Amino acid sequence: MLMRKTLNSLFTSYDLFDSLFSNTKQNNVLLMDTEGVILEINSAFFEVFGYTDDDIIGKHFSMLFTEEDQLKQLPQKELNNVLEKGQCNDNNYLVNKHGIKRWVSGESILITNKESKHLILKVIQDIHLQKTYEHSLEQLHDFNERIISTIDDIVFVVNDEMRIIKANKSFHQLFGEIDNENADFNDIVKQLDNGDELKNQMQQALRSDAGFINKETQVITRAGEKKIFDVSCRRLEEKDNKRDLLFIMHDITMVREDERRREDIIGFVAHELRNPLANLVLCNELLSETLKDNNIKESLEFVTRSKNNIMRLNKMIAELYDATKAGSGNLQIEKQLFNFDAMIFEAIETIKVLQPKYEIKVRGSANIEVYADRYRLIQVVTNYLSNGIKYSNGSAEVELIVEHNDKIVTVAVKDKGLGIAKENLPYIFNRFFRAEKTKNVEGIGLGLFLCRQIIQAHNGNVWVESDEGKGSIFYFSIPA
Amino acid sequence: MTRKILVVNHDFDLMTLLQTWLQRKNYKVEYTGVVEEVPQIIRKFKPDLLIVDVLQGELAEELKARKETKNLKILLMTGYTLPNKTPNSVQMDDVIEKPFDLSLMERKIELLVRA
Repeated sequence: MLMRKTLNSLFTSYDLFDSLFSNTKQNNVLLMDTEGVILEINSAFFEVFGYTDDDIIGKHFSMLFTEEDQLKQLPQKELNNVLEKGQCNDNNYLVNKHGIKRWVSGESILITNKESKHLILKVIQDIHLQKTYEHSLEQLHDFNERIISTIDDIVFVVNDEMRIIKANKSFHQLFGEIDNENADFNDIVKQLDNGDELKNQMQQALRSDAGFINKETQVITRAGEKKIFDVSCRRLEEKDNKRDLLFIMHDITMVREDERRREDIIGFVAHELRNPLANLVLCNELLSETLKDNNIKESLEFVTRSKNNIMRLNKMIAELYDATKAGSGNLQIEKQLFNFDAMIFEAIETIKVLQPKYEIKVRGSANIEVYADRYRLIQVVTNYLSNGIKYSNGSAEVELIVEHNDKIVTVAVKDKGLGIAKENLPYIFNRFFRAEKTKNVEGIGLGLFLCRQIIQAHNGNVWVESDEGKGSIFYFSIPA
Repeated sequence: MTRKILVVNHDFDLMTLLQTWLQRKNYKVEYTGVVEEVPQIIRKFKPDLLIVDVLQGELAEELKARKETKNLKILLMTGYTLPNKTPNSVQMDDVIEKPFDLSLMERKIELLVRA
């Protein structure tokens, strides 16, 4: 009775197994001997991997591995493993009939057949798609993480319990390392100059859907620097009823500094422009008084002085306009052929009219034709000369030296004036640069900047040598 | 009694124009562009009023800090309009903005030299 029942159940279980072996679509089953020679495959195996009985029966199962894995002796290791432990799981590539790799998960079980012979049953599932999805998900996650950590802006997420649940590298750089799970947003609020105001707005943002943008805040960094940030806050898209807020803090310290510097410059330029204007007001007043006195000689003098001040004003405005154009790279150069010496002579005459007291000594000459912008070069020479005079500190001597060879013409203007401090030399040709010592001398700091732009537009060079307290030599050279 | 005014500026044209204008109003006027010379000129010339440009603001502050010149009246001229650049923070006696409203300037000078 018992015997029959056992036999029955054995047959039943055999039938069950046989039907599972033949009908399963998900489990690809392979039977092999302990050497790894394939004895049988089910239809699912054929469906999924394309091998027929003829392709595979009697062959060693290592044929299903990639060459790389074969070299690593993966098939043998798998066999040893299952023989030793009776069961093992492996994830690896399986090469299908068409030579295409599929990522599979396999379970090998050591079984014994009716003849007490050991066999290995291998159940394989094709998890290639899952693996691919997993991989691309990982990549996407990694990609997002890299974007967030690369962004210079400070990015972090705060939940409705005021906990910081995510923060990027820039955040840590500013506020220090925080514990992502437990960091209290209130600790950050304390470090912002208007943190409480931001916190109020943040709580409003939590209640409503609207966030905020363009809120400014100041933070003192651990190095003691003051940084200004533009803060924006948005609700993250709702998920699982969670209300998280995304904060982005953009560093605008430099922008604010630039604005302040521009304001300073504009203030300074306005101040300088008002000097000739103030003179004009005085000239006009005095002119009307001398006219009332019928004093023609003095009246004419004030008319001339008015004219000079109008020209000064105009020169400053022209410089300002030229500098704006030069700054955006639009300085126009109109080249023509002309005699270099004649151009130098004209520049000196211009200066003599404006500054009759000063003597300009000329050494050397360049009696050659050059192809350049004559008007702009006169501008450079007169600028060098009037600088020499302006900063001459009372000395009435300015020297102009001209030299040339086949390739270049060089002009040097030498004065015995204030000279330039060593630390200021690199900046002397910069826009709006004025050394501390020269603050009492009129000018808006554009002359030398324009000279450099003009000479550079001619593919030439400008440079300066100076001995503080003794004088300077300003040079320029252009191709001959 | 003729009142005396010292003009300190970096603009030669302005100094001579101011001198001519103030002389016509019966002031005695001297001027200098060399800041270092100012204390010496003050000792010799003994001005009632100093007119300086904002660019010489440091000099004005120095004079106000010194015992012998702290009572000297100083009128500051400025071309700046920006609030942080106006010398309200500097304890000057008065400020006039460039370009000048000459009748206003005349009144300011009158008040300062008579004070």
